[in-house]
Amino acid sequence: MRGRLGTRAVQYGVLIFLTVALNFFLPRAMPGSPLAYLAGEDVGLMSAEVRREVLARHALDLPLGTQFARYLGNLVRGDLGHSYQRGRPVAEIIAERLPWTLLLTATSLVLSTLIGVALGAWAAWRRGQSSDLSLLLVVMFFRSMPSFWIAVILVAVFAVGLGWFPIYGAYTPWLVATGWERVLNVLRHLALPVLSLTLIGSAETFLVMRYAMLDVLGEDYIATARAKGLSERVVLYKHALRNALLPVATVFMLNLGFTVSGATVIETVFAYPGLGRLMYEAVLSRDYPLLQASFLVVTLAVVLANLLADLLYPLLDPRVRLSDGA
Amino acid sequence: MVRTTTGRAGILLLASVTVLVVAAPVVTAAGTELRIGTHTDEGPLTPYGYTFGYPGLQLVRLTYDSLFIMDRERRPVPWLVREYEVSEDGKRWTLRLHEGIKFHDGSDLTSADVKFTYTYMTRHAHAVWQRALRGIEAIETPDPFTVEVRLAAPQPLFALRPLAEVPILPAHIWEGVTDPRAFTDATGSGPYRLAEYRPGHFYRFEAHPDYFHPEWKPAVGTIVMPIIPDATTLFTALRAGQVDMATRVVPPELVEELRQAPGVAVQRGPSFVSTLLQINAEREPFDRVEFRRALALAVDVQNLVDTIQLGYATAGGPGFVHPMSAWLLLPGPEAQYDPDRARSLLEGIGFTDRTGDGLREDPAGMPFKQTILVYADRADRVRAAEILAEAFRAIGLRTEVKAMEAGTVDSLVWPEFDVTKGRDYDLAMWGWSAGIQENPLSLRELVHSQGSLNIGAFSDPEVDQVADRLLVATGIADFGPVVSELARLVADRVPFVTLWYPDGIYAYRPEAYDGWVYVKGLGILDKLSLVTRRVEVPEAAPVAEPPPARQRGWAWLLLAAAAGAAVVLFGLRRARPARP
Repeated sequence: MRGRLGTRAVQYGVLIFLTVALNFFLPRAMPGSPLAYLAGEDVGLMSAEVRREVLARHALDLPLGTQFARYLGNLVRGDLGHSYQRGRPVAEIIAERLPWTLLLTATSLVLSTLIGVALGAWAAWRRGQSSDLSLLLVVMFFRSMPSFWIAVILVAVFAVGLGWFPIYGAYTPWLVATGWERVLNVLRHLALPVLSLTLIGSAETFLVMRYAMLDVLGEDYIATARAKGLSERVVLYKHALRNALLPVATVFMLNLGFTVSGATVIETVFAYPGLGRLMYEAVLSRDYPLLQASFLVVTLAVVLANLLADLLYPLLDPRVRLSDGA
Repeated sequence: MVRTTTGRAGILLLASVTVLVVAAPVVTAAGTELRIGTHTDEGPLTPYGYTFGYPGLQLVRLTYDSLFIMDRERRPVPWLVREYEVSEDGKRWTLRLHEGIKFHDGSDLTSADVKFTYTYMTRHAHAVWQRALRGIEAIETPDPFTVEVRLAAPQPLFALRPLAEVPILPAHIWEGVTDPRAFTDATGSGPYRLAEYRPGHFYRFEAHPDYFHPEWKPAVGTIVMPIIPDATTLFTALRAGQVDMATRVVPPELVEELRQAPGVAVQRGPSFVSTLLQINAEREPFDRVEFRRALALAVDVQNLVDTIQLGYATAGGPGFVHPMSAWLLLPGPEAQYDPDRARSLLEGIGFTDRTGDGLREDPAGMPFKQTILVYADRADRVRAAEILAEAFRAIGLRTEVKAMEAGTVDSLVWPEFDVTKGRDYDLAMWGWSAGIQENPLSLRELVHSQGSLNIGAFSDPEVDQVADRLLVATGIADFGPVVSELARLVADRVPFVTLWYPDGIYAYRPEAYDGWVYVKGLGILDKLSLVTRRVEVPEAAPVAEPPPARQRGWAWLLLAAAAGAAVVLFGLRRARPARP
């Protein structure tokens, strides 16, 4: 067991180093220059001397290998550097955005998983009936719609048409309220972005759950359970649902890692201050420090989610434990 | 049973949260807020920290003042300066400041701050400020309200640049700041104080209660600027009354719709932004003036204005200079559309169609193809490039359009933003910001063989000679004749094809605030729009409530339809026999 953990640790260590290196070299391999953001607009009017000074200040005049070594050194010391575009410590920028992103993506991940599981199980239970087919139709409809389109429709109906929800932001900028009023204000701003992501996300869980459930419902032990005279509810929840949850758990874990990378399109449409939009802007402006750090955060989150999945799987599926023991 | 109860309790909880969230009142601004939806996050809004010239620099100018200011006709007039004198040889400027100018932290702005700023900005790299301050030999401050600047040579544009351009920093805050790009304190002396900045979310400005100016005072108490990057969301928010003004230029296809929208007003005016077809004059056959002239003659700029901008633009003048530019004394040359002459020019330099496929081969008889590079995220420019490609094919030139990510296009057209680093393109859709039209010296940078903005490596001794005359101008009046002559030459030698100058079109809600001033060539987001002659800080009109119920009818209909569909589906399910 200890040996296995050691191998895992080495595996993850190598993985993280490789992604750190990729995160460093890939943005620099892109054509384009961060100079416009380092020197301000009218960058073309800079004298050669000023240009050299600006590049030197950000160590961009050094050989790539030296830059990488410095980056690694800073990383070990916990220094993520300063954003080129925003002139602020990268760690600070990410710390500001991360909670909003997590609030948005984690909420919708949980909601979409719950809804997807419930509807998927229900649809499989009623396989072939009109309710199953119409639900499938509705889900495929949302699944095939581009996310920005769903978002724009929701804004048109619920924000502009009915005036129930605000159109932009994470809370009202001029709000001085505290306590519940503030919580409500945040929830109100969260509603439409979460609804968009949930509509799209639950479709995936729904499909996975429905097929897993169909599989399980064909198993002999379900027939046995029915033959024992157990109620349909007990057969559905206790015997079928639990066993069909494994693939859903896998999908959940895969998505969990990516919750920190935000939802660029939805964040853009709702002007939500999350990490997705931030990363997109960092790519456009060739903001290397910000790119490296935000990609690193995503990498770490995905690795962590993987680790979590590895640890949780034996608990969810006794077969994994058994084969390990064998 | 337990499971069912939990499930029901969960559903009940979810439902009550939803009802609470929906039923909570929509928070509208409390009365003195003006909500300006801005389309980019401009960073910390210090003179070193803003990101783009527009809207960033306009926001910096709300929090900082400069010695002069550009009036609505874009002429420099005194601002922090009360009166000034220029010595006869034009080399000594004596500037007397207003008394009682306060920074937002309550300290006084004096001549020492001016001297500090000009010295600091000369030493700390910034493309705009550092360049603006070139040629200053010495600055003296005989008393707290007098600044004497000695120049190496007369600068006829000194009031424009640097006086109206450079924001004055508080010396006591910036002393000892070694990395200005990483410094985020935006304390200035401007009419508004940056009270809060939430990156990626919003800015909040408060009126400066002790604003110095005897005539002009902040016009509103608070300005909130939510950052809304998506154009659709921004203009939807404006229409729904959730913002009062949008900094983004209204796209041509939205202009009529916004004009019709209740409570929304649209202002339109000339803009000095330019869109052009950039030519790489270093590469064959674009190095031949006849070839470049043929390209220009094949382009119908008015058609581009009508198709791409739906008429909301001024057709490009082949001399580059905007027809409303103050520097142009004579009417500029007019664009000519003459494909037949273009064809004969091409024939004349050996570009003929030898294979009979309607496309010309080069003088050596080899197939010829040219490529237009364009930013993929600029739909208007991509469409324009396609129209241009068609026009060039019509005169027999095989043309391909290549849309690429902006940074990639930049790296091919203008590697590292340094024209000495070479270039790798034939033709590119390009644009210059308004500032280039405003300063005649920028025109020289654009077309002179040594110019730092000459991204096409265009070189013509006659153009160089005329452009150099801009450098030795000793008075404002000297520029007009030179600019006019240069425009004529540029039209003849075609370093690029100027396609159009898009109109500045801005939308706002007049019931929230109606003090917007259209500043020529720039737009309505300007310090002049947000200061007023009234002495007291007035309360802005209350912000509009969400749109009237009339508009909501269709949304209810849609909801009712969805509910109806659900009932029908449910009914269908019930109507079927239960599962055996």
